[in-house]
Amino acid sequence: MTTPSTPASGPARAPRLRRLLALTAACALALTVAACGSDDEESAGGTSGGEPYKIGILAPTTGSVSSDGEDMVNATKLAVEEINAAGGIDGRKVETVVADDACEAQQGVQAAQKLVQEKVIAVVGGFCSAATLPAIEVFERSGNLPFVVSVSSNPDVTDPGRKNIVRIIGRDDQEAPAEATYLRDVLKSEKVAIVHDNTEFAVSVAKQARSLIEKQGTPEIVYYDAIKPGGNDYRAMLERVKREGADTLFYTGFHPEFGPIARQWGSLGFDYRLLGGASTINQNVIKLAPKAAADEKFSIVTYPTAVLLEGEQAEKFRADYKKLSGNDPGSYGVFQYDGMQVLFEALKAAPDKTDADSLNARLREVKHSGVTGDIAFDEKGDRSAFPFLAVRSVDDSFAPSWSISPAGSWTEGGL
Amino acid sequence: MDNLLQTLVGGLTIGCFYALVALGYTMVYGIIRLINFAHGDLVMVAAFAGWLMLDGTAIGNLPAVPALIVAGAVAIAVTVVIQLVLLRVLYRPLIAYPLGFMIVALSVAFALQQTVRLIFGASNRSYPGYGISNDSMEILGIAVNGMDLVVIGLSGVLMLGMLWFTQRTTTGVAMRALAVDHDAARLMGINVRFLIAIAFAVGAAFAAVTGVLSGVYYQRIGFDMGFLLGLKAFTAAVVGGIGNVGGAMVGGLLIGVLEVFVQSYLSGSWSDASIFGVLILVLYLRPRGLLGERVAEST
Amino acid sequence: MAALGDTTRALDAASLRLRIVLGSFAGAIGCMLLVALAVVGVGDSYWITVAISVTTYAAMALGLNVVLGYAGLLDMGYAAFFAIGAYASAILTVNLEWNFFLSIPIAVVVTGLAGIVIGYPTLRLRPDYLAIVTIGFGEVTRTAFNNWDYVGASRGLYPLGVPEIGGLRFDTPEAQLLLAAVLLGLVVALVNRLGVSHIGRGWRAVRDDDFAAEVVGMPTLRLKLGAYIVGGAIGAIAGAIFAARSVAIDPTNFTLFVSVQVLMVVVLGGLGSVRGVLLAAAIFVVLPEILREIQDYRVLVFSLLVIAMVRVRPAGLIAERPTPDRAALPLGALPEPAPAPAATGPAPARRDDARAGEPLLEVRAGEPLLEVRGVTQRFGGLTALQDVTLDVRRGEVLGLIGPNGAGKTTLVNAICGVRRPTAGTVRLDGVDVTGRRPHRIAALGIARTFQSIRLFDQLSVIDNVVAGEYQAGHLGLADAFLRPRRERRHQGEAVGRALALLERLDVRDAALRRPSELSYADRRRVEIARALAGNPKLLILDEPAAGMNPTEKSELVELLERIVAGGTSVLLIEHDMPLVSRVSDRLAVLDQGRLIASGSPETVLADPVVVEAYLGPGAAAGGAR
Repeated sequence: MTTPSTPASGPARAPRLRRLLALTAACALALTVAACGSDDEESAGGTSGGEPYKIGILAPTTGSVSSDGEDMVNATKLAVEEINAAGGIDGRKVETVVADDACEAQQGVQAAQKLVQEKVIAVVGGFCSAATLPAIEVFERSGNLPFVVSVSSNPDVTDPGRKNIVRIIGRDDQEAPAEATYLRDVLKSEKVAIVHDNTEFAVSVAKQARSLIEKQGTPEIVYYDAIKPGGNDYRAMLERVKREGADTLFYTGFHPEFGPIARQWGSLGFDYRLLGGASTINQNVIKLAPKAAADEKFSIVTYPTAVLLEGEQAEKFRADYKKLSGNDPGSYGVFQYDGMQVLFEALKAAPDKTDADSLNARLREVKHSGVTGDIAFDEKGDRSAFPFLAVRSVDDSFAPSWSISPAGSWTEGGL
Repeated sequence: MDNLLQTLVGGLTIGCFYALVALGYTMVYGIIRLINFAHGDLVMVAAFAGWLMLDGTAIGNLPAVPALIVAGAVAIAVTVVIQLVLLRVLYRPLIAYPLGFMIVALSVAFALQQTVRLIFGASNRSYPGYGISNDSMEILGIAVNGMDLVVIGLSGVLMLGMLWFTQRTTTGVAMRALAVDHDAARLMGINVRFLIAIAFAVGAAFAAVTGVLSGVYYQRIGFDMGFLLGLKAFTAAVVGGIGNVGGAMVGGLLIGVLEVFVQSYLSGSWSDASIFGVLILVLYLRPRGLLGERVAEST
Repeated sequence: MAALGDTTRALDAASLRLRIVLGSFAGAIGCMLLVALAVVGVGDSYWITVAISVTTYAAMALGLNVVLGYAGLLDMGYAAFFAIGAYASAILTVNLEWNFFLSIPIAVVVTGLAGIVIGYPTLRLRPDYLAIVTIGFGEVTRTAFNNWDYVGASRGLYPLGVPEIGGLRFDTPEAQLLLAAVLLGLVVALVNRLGVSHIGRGWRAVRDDDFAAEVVGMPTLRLKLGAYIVGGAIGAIAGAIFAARSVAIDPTNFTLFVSVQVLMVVVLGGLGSVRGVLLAAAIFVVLPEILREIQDYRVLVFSLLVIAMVRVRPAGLIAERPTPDRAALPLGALPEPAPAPAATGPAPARRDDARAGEPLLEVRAGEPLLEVRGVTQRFGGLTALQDVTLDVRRGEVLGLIGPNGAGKTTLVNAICGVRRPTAGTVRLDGVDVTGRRPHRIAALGIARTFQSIRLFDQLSVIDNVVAGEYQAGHLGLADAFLRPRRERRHQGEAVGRALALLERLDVRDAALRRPSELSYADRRRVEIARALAGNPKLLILDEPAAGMNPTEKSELVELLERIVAGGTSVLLIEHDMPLVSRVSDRLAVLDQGRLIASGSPETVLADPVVVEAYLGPGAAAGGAR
């Protein structure tokens, strides 16, 4: 570019050359130091009685879903503080190293490599499959490092039948069947519009829902399209749905868009029902559209999340989380929390054996009653049983109106 | 037909937002002929400034209209100050160097986004509802929102104000002269530096109003809301005719309606891409825009 | 001090040799492999992975460096090329089960073509419009991939295979790094070679002042398109590296944000600087890894760094090499100028004529060389030229005078193809050149200087002059990187000729300096030298004496006489009456777009119509008021 000042040629070049050499030397030095050196710990260690367990955390703390990454990190902190306060595992404290995968592939690989370099004994985390899948390759290559996948629901994570994966959240293809049957049996919909947001997860759910619904025979899919995430105005799409004659709009994307969608749906007074998929569940939806979310035409089919879970454990989790971070828990942190607990259980079973093979075997055997329900793993590493809830807003928070247990069908009331 | 009109009304509201931002753009652009990529992020900063007032201080306890006026004033003050500081420190020395200017403006855009993200976090924030009616009324068979009318009305007033400013006041006319020919304007005794500053300030003020208005209307604000908005607004300004106040208005409304129509009748996935497609077409077929440019001829 | 001088010279020579080495494929690849092996030697797979990321960014940044750094095109959608390259390679290897190594050339070709498609509409755009349009293309490309089921739409392609060849599988980080290093070396060599070639000079001229470049004879549109093609091809190689090491690719790898980050790397490294960009890519990837605390602030930090860099050190971390690049010339000091042609005598042959084997053209004085017939130029409601008809004869100096605003420069613009006349024709040597592209007209034999001197400030003086004969070389893009020796020889000859011209114009000593360092008069001379470089038939000078003192003016007159004696006709626009009447054979007078008089200087200057045009009505009658 044309610039205000440019260096002259000639004799001035030599000093620049020297500067270049100095710079290169400095960089090389830095690289070497970093390569040989960095083994600094993350959080407070303190060993009492033995070397602390070092656990890697893979989460998107920067990038498009950094709020969820934050959520996961907070949940991790909660789990770690609890267990350390109780004296650790077999007297040894737990430490974590957080690696940011920024919800993208290159960063994911680097983050995974960093955790391997830090010599963690296991990893808990994984949100975006774009980052999680490459990270899995890295862990596999590094001697099958145990990986407790907390939030990434892509079937590709477990389908290849890996030895080192257990997953806390359900799979993409578990959500869609619940929604398909909900549409047919509870809402008794005859014409449905399916809308996603072009992101990988939402598209996958939408596609599966579509093929399941087609197999079911009912309802008829009258409109299938996408909106652009990050926008604010969804009137056009809402109008189109009405034009196509749908009696239900099923949105498979995420909560930042669903809030405005619900609000505009409500304020423009559309007749058709509004159904959100599992990723739309978030308190912000109620905040943004309090009346719409309480409307009886409104519902969300979701995993039982932190907010919805009933029972003492869930209450305690919510309270403790709020005390620790000052905010209410997000939707997915609770899976991370349960993931940590599962790992703790596996460690407790044989505290001295932290090698990958035996840890992997123990992880598969874990049976834990977590905040998200009873946890046990099948031969692929997936949750053997996963319930779903249909919720709407009651007194400004989500409450279940229908539920379905894994093998059963939709029944009124909560779990 | 009903649906067409309904879609049109929706497009109008969005279009008003684009038009407001485009207005802030077009005067500055007309003078310096350089895209300010950071402009959209000024809108975002203003939205957050307003939110801070409404959510974090006692102002939020006032009833809607005074609260919003105060919030708006604060937002305007904040953005104008930021813009003028940026002008003085970064932009002005680079006005003669297009590449340098644009790269710096782009970096400023990202710096603003990241700063807001680091301060306020990545999650979206909500403006208070103020019980501003979100229910719609029927006008001529079309569902129209109370807020729609507020947005359209306010935008209309501001646009008329801008027109009056550029046609009827000395400063405004001077700015138009500056847009056409720097040297001649200087020779006529016009204080170019001062006018450029005014143009930037007015642009920032428009951005501020848009930011707060957007917060109130959509209620949701996030650190990433500004950049794409700025790009679309620039497209609107180009489509309507750069440097041309009427053009920015027409362009904004057109882009808004186009976006809504594509979403409504074609496919939501392509609405952004189609806006850029229109830009490419316009630059190819009618580079002066619909209402013609008001800028100096380039050599 | 002497020792310091020796060291400086030694380092200089070493740097020169290094650059020559890096310009060769073997050298560049070898260099990259060495670095890669060093990293592998450290043995830490984490840092190896980081190094692979560095190569990906470095490759992309080098590609963008061609488009932006060399050619000055602010392409903000560069990730589109990256995407097309990566997807092309992935489609071939995953869906069609080709071998990875075979997919690379195909990916390069496909992306090169995409460069044409994306580049073509932007060629005539202003830099700001260009930026937005390229953003648009980036978004459209990503949206297209996001909606294309064949490539997995938003899910992308997974898993990608592992590159293999002859039984060798590149499935470990070490192997992938070495592969990436080889590919990066390829790119480095390519970019280096192009940078020192005549194409590189052309790009830099376009970057500096694309209007002047066009008029001086460079095919600017073709050059810009070439930049896109090369930039695209390099993006494809970066995409191939990415596909080789990634388990999956999906559209989120190719967002606007990626384009912006590559842009940041190029700006930080220094536009046009290969070493700078390599260093910046390394810093960009490695720094956040070393300083884990700043990871969250990564984007903010680099945005601020870019701002600081542009304001404080716009040339970047390592500034672009000054031109001419000695690596392109025979080793050693600048060559001696070619023997100066005789001050008088028959015109030196135009290269075309000599090549055709014809005898030297004889100067046929008196016949019309340039025929302007009925040229009218309207801008909207304004008529700038009205039915102008004049000739410039061979071997003559035609002075074009007239009051300010009469349309003299407009007429010159019409002749040179800057603006197609609304009506009328222009013929040069019998060939109709009306409204043709300026660089074509320059190639046919018209050269000009500008009222406000338009030299390429980013090029040295000698490079400015060499730029003037761009067309004559007939070397293409392929020659630039496939036949370096031929390139170098050609460049050496061109430099020799340029030096001769500079000598003739008494500015040889300024050869290696930047135009901004010269005095006004010297800059004027350099501009004239540039105009003469292409051996024009007609030289148009637009107010060359403006701002000169009397000594300089009489030197100018001598110079003009020498030029004409050398066989070039001259069309001279001037305001200095004594000068123009002294040096011109004939005068033509324009007033308000019309030709109001022509003939010998004495006749014309005494013509009452002319006097009135200058001094106002009634002036002719009563003498000076």
